[in-house]
Amino acid sequence: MVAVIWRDALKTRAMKTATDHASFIAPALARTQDEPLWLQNFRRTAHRRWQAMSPPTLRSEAYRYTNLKPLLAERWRAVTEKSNLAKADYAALRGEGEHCCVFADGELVNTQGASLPRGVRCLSLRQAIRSGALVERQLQASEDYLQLLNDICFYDGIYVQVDAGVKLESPLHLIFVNSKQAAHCALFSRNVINVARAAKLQVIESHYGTTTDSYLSVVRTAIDIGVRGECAVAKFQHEGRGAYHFSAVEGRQQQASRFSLLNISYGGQLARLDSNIEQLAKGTHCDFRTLYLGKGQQVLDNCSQIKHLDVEGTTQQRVRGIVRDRARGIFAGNISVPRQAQRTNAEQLTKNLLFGKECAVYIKPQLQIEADDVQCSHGATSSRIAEADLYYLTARGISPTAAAQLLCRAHVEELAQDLPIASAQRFFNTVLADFLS
Amino acid sequence: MSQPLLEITDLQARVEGHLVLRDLNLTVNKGEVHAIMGPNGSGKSTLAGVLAGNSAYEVVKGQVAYHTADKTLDLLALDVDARARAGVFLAFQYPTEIAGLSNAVFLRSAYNAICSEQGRVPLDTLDFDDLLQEKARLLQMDKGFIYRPLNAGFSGGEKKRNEILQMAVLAPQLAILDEIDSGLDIDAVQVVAKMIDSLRTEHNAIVLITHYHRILNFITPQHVHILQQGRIVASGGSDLARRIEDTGYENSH
Repeated sequence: MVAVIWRDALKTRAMKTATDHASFIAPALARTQDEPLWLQNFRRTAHRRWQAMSPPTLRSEAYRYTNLKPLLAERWRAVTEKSNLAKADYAALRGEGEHCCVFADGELVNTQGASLPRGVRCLSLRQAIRSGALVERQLQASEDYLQLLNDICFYDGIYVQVDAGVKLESPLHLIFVNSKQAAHCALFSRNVINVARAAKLQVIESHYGTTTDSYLSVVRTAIDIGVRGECAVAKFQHEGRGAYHFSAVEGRQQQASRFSLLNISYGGQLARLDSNIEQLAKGTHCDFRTLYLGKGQQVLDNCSQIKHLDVEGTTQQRVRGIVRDRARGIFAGNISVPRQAQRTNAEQLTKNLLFGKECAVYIKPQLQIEADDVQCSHGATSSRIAEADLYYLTARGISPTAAAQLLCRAHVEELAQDLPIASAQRFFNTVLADFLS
Repeated sequence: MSQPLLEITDLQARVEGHLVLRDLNLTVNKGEVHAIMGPNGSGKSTLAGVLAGNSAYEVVKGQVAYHTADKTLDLLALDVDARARAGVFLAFQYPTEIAGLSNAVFLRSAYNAICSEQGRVPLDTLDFDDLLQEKARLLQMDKGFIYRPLNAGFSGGEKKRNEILQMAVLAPQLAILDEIDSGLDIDAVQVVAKMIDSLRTEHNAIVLITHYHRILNFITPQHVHILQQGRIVASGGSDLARRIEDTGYENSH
């Protein structure tokens, strides 16, 4: 089967020089030849669909402001060797009380922290595949060009199962570190998380790069939350300066479940987060916060789709962005409320701050409402720092630089309040201090 | 013997091309309270803005000498923040609202910036909180007030009281209070006036810009000036303010 896909991959390359950037497919697949048949079929189907697809361009609505040309012009390699990242390189990334799983250049290399309680199963995805814990219905095929590559090539990641009624109070921290060995490589990680009925889980997913070379990191995290389950996810993107980071989060919520997603995007030259959340049953709640801080020539793209598919769901989506230099910030958020989702309460608010004349933000807030008994609102602003605010602060003796820092902090402060994962506060402080320095 | 703190000589300033201050002269000594009164558009707020360093105002001519403990500064040559660190404080007529920035964080940044300038050790969060709470207590302000976002959602009276709290914490040498009584009811005027009065010392000076006499019922100025068409046309004692109240600006001098 793998040989067939490998041939397909070669054929694709011959047919479309535009897909030279995907010459990693064959060697990546060669690493997965011991997998069960259903998974090989999954990859094969994804590969066929990907072959039939053209890379997105600026004419594609979903990539209207995100130019993939530089990414597609690179000839990415597959990761074929074990990482030689030292423990000391990531030891400091772990927070107090966290249970940590460290992935170096796409592969699990270390777990740290207290043992997990009974009823929490945490395996590397390789283990989950080998042991049969991962089953076909837990993998959803993607429609996106780059995430389809993840469907074809994903290797490692995490598999978490929290059984009914089990509450894990300390966060599970997934640390993905990409080292110099990842330079010019394409890395694909996949996380599958199941929070059963009335269970509770906190997950921090952080991505770091220790190289300034370019690499492509494509990550996908699927989260299923059972009836009255609670799941909080904090994603912290601090990839290396040359990185292309594409991340997708898929949340599926059952009745009366609570899902919170905090996304902090800071690193990489081009980073995109696609979040798709489906509120499948009555009375679900979603708290979705996004912070992006762009500088240099970074492009930080944030797309979200929240679907209310049953009654009495609530969503609070807050996005704050700050860009400076020639950075670009993008937010395209859609909340859909079809006819059956009566008594939905959804709020979407994005506020952006720009420093300098060459930076830009592109905002596309959308509410699609078909139900008639709902409370929905959305708002979007983008502005420079108000001169009056700056004057007020400097008139008290604060230097213009320090005043601007205080005003930036004020701009994002609302997101840092009452974080569902308290320890995520340190990411806020880390990136803000670095960004404002 | 009185020691001058501020000496304004032949000051001319314009706003958007229009000359607003015309050869204004004024000396303020340490320990004094000066009230500057005048009709709308006479240049009162322009004077406050020029002294604080607001870039909306362009100084065309004149000097402003500011005498600190050991040296004389050319105030107009200093940036806004440097003027504040040198001890000049402007209480805003319309304080800005900044959600997301707590009063306490803002004031600690300001306080420590001034400390650093003066060679004093900056205060950490806990020590500064003690100081802030003490000042709030002396001004009979609610403790919760100091942790709220800066002026966000404050009533008009709360904003003005917050300006005075800032003045109490930062302890400026020269406080310019731009219509601190505007928008306040009579009880609030009395409260704010008493707060200001409690901050008077022999080392500082207050320039009180106002339209009305009523705040002067609670703070007695040594000097009252009438500002008209950009220059001081009359000066006197506190009785001048009463004459203005009785007869208006035109007939009081």
